[in-house]
Amino acid sequence: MGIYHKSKEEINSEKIEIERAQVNPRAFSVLYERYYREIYLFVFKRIGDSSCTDDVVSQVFIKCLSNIKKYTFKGVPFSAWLYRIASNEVNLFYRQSKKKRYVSLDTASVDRLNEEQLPGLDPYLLSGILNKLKEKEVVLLELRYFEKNSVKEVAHILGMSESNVKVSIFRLIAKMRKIVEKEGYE
Amino acid sequence: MSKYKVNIDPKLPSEEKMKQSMDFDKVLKTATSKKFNVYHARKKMHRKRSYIMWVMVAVAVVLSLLVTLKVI
Repeated sequence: MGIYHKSKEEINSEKIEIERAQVNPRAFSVLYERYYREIYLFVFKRIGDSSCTDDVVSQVFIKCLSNIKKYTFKGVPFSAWLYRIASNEVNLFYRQSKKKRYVSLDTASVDRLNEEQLPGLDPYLLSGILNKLKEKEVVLLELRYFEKNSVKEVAHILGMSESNVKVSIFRLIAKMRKIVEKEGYE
Repeated sequence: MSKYKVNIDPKLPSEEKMKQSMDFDKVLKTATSKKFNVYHARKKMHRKRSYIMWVMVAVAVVLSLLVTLKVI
């Protein structure tokens, strides 16, 4: 699902498609069909309800299409911009609906986190730890560990610098370790 | 009370379900409609106006403080 999981040629050919869409909005359909599934899953994993996901995803693409003329190509895949809009739309959804934030955990990503950073962790313990974290920290954890994005990708989606993302992740893992030690999970 | 609703290994929607919800024409119609664009332009203008208003309030507070403290 990553942003930089594309070759330079693919990114450059996408540039032509974006320029076409900037002139003729109907040409946006190529990009819409290519990214619909990815964005749908990205939103679904954060909302968990298919009817709300449908609405949020269509809002993402409406915003994207209405602002496509302002888009400037910087050598970064188009999906980076799309994910950023999707992330903002999910935040807006929670601000307006005042619902409890939904977090999807899959066992494989918990295992990865377990091996790399927090030994002795299982999905049930992690869900307990998550409840002690701030919303921004959960978002960071989702992007970096549950969806396996690189630091560069996370930085693009959240509009942060790479070094800032690295520091935030370092602090987050340290905080999670402290919670584990304090609660005596190990 | 838990802060988040955590779901372990959630069931993802099927490909068919996702395809059914795809509707490019609706997206195109909404994004290019005059009503949508006018609404967002007004919203942006309103945000700008409220920002200017807060800056003016801050300047007024600082000036009145300076006058009260007889700096000016």
